Amino acid sequence: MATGEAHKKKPADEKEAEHRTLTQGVNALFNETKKILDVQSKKFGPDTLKYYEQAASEKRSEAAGKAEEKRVAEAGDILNKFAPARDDAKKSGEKGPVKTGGALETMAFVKAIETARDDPAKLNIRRWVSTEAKAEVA
Amino acid sequence: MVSLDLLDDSVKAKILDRWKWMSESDKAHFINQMAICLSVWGSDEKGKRIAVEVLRSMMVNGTQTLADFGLYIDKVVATKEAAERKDKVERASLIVEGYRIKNSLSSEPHHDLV
Repeated sequence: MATGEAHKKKPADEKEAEHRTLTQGVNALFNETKKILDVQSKKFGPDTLKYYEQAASEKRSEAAGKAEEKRVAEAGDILNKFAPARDDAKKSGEKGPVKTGGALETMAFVKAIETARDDPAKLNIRRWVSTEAKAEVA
Repeated sequence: MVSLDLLDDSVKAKILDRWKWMSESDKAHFINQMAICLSVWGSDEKGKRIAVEVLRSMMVNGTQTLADFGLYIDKVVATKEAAERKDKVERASLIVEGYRIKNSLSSEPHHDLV
C-alpha cells in the first residue's frame, strides 16, 4: 500500500529497540570473530604464510615456461622484499598475517551482508568503509 | 536517484544473491581470503576501499561465488585505490594464491554456463 506511512519517522522507543537489537547482533558477531581469529591465528602462522608464498611461486614457475619468466621473477622479488618482515614477525612472536583488524572488518562486512538479506539498499558499503569495527571484550 | 554509496544497487544485489547461494565452505574461504588481504594491505578506510574494488571487479566480471575473491586481487593493482599500496596488494595476491593452491580452490573464476 503506497501511503505516506512508510516515510514517517520511527518512534523513539522503536528506534531504541532496533538499536539494542543491532548492538546485540554486533556483539554476538564480535564474539564469533574472536573465535574465528583464534582459529585463523593458528592456521595462518608465519610458517604457513611462507608455505603459501612458496607454493604460489612454485606453481607460477611450473606453469611459467619462457613467456611467464617475468611474472616468476616478480614473484621472487616480492618474496625477497618481504622475507625480512616475515622473519621479524616470527622473532617478535606475531602469530601470522591475520590481524584483529582484518578479521573484525571482514566479519563486519559479512554482518552487513547478512543484515541486508535481499535488500541492496540496506547494504551500505560507504558506511562499512568509513566505520571502524571494534570488538567488545566481555 | 543518485547513488551515494560506493557500489550501485545492481552490484550490491549481485553480492547479496551470490552470498545467499554460497556453501558454508565457500563462505569460509571468502572470509579467510578477505581477512588475509585486509590484514596484509591494511584494514583502515583505504584498505577497505581496495577490498570494495575487488568485489566490484568480481561482480562486473560475473563471477558466481565470493570465494573467487583471491582471483581478482591482481585486477585492482592498477586502480587508484591500490596505487599507494601496490607492494602490499601484490603480496596479498601471492599469499592468497598460495592459500588457494593449498586448499585446492579453482584457479579460474566460476561463471555461469551460457
